[in-house]
Amino acid sequence: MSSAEAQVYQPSRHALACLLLAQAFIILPHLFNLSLWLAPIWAASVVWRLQVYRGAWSLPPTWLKGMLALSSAAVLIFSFGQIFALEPLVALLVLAFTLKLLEIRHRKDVLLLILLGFFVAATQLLFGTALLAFLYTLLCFALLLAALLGLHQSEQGYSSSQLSWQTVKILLQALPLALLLFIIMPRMGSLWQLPMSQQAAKTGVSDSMSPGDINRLNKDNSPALRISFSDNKAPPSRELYWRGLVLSNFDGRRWSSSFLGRNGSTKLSWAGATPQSWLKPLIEYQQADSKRGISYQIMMEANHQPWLYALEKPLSTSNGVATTPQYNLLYKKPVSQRFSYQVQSFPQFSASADALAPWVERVETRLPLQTNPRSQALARQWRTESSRSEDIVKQAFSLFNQQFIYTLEPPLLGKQSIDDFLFDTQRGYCEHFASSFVFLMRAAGIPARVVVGYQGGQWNSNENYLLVSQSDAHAWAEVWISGKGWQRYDPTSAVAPERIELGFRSFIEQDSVSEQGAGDFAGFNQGSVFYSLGLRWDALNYSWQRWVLDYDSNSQSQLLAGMLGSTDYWRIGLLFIVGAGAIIALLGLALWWRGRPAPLTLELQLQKRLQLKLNKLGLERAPGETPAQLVKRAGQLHPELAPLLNKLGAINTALLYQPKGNDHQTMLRQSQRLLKSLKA
Amino acid sequence: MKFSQNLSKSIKLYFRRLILRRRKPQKHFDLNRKNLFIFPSATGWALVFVSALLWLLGTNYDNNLILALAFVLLSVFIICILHTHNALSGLSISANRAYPCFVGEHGEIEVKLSRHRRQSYRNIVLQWDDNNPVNVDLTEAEQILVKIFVEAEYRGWYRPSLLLVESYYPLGLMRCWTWLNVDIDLLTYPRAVAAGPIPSSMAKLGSGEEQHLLAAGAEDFKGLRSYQRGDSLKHVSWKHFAQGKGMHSKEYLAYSDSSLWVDWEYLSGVNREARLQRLCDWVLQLSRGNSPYGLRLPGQEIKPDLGLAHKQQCLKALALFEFTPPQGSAYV
Repeated sequence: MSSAEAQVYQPSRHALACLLLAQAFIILPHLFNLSLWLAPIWAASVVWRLQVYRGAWSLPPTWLKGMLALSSAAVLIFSFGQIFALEPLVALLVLAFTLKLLEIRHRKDVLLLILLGFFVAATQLLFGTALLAFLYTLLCFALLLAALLGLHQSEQGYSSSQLSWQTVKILLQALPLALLLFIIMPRMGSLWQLPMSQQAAKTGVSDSMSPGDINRLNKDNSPALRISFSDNKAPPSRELYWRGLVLSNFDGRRWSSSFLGRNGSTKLSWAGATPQSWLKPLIEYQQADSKRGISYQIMMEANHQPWLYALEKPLSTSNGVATTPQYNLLYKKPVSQRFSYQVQSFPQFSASADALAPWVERVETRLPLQTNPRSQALARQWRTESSRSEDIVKQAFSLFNQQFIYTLEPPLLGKQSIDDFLFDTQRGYCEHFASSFVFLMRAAGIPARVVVGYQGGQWNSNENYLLVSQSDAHAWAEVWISGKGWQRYDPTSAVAPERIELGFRSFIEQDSVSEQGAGDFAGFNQGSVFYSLGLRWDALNYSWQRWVLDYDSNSQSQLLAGMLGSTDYWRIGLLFIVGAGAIIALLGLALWWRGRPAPLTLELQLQKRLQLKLNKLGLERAPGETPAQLVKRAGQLHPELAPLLNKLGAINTALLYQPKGNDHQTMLRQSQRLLKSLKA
Repeated sequence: MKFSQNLSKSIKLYFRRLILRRRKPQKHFDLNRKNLFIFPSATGWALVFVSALLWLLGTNYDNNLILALAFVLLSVFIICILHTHNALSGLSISANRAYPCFVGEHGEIEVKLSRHRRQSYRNIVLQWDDNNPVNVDLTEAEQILVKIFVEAEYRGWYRPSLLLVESYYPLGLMRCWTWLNVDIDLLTYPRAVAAGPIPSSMAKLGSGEEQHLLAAGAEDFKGLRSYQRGDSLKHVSWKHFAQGKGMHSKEYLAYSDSSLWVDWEYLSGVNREARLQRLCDWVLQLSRGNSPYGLRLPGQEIKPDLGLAHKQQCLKALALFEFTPPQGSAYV
């Protein structure tokens, strides 16, 4: 080993231990977010570093480090397929964080590693923002701070447990100020476009519906929407139809949204912009009496789809939200993070009920030719019996009411799926009913369309919000009734009204429509401990989302306006200065109090009083002078006081330096008495 | 590079002089708000930079949690102002004593650190003139004596410039420090410069035979003194011994007077400092032997003697001979 290598800096044992532990904690979630390839690279670096610490190996030569870095970077980029996306960039950062371990030559390299660690630890929150993920990141920060502390203590410093306790204390002391900064610091919004995550699995209701789609969702208990109503009360379950998309195209098997739903961008009415003419009646209706509406805030889970959910006839004031002419809400881009928006719905409002435009009517009654002939014949027969649309709807409902069975395990359908369902199997769930109902209406010449979204929800009384799960996915129908406009009809309610009244989950538990289908919910029996714990956990997550993750410039100005009366800059600045000053002053006071001067013992107090009196007589105690020497000197200066002083000196010396005996108390009193008699 | 180093050094010196002029030398210092400086260290600024990066990341991705972490880091940085200030505040430092040394060597100055507060003090760094830092912890004991090395630059009463007391504790984000003008002088002996053997009129040490012969030439019997171990047997007055009066050694005046004096006059023609350096070397040589030696300087004379105290007396006389504190030193 050359002399240059012998001088390589070695961090202390505690610092290195904390650093390696912190690195392990930081890298672990990234292995799953990014690439398992990072694991062997990291393990190799750690082993090498430990061997260097033990003195067994020397640091790798430059060429080896270079090759290692290049090949690892190549492997990572190859496994991602590209560089300029979020994942490969973070992966390269983690790689640098890992390989830097092999390059610690000076103390400042360790500092660099720790500082890089803070950044890498924070990037895990780009991939998940759950409460636990945040606490985990705080733990990583604590470990990094412990490493920093370990680096700045002398050799005889703390043990590991003291080290971690000290760090936790510092972190806890920092939290109030951090909270204040979090509340007050203005939110700027994105400054420039950054590469986004590639992992955008679309979830939830999709923009088409073919048999089995919703059934798949019914087995998924993950949350979809959380809604808090402004009056903290939810309307009854049968009113809760969360409209997502309108599906008007049918190809014989699959319903999909028509160009009306998709390409209506010229007709979209964006929140904040001048409303389109078709939306004006609704806005006037709102302005006439806004109490008629239902106000609520929806927090939607990321589903990587652009459409939003709302009750009928919604108006939203949230940025980036548009209303379509079909009274659906759209967001400007696919929702890739949890997203909150404010809505006011007016279910009573009926849009202009004049005749549909002929081309719209054509779209809404179009059916594939020569499919499902029996159903088409049935509808035509109803048409001849009555010309009123409501009568035909009634006919269809009574048909469903007679023999149909609601089940989550329907038999498979053949090519003529509507015919098979209506006349043969007669077993199905919402999408079968909605699909065949709309088919019958259209065959009878009545404009009708399928609506997909969610129905119902679970009221969480801990936090007063409605939780809508993916399993609440539902499909229903809307029928054009001349004079009334588009009316909602839910054929499922004709077959299984409890499904609508109770909500899907309660319904499934109440009577097992299908034994197998209910199996998935066995763990979620209402009333079971796990169920209520689950609700509480969801409530916690909801609060976390609502108060922390969704805290944006809007809620900030609301909160600050509530606290300060208005959001003038000087008020906010004053709040910050006063708040931060108070926090720092309190902390400083606490630190001072913890290390406050120890009080003097009685014996020392007596000696100090004696010295003060001697000061008045013109005597300063010289450094290193004993009490006895001091009084002797004083006696020489003031011979008239000498006997008294000598006595005092002897007593004080005994008090200070002799082990406590029986006469300790008497000596104390004696010293006090003599001090009093000493006239300075 | 060199220029900037020189510049920063001269700026440092300028500020140090400024402090010196403002602060009288003291024996005792209480470290508190009034005399402590605090400023972020390079690590501290780097942490602020990381915090700013996190803020950018959080802002661009609309990620409140990353913003929160940025604020946590910033708060830790701010909290450290209190902690690092507390790491020195409440400490007392007083000069205790100085251990003499030779010019160019490291002398030791002992200072006493004491605390009047219950908190413990960790990783305090003490140094004179940016050199030879000493790290101290003050945790259990109320006070502690610390020896700090300082390089003595001139003979006489050397006044070290300023004592730097600093702390980066706990996280190294802040540096809290103070420069103390400590009222302590380090007795510094001249640098010993090899001067060869002591001039011919003096006895060469080591061989009793030669001493005797030299002494025989000068023949000035002075008297008797009681025999000491190590006296040459040739000097023993056997006559007295035979009379049963005990063992006595004969003392010759010339022997003791002329041969073991370290004399300023031996080195005429050499300048003062060079003379002192060589005299110092001779004193050191003689002190290793076991014959008494004396020192003659203009205006003062130290009687021949032996032992550590005598040696120190001689060296001190050399150190302080015509001593004037150099201009521009810490004396103000």
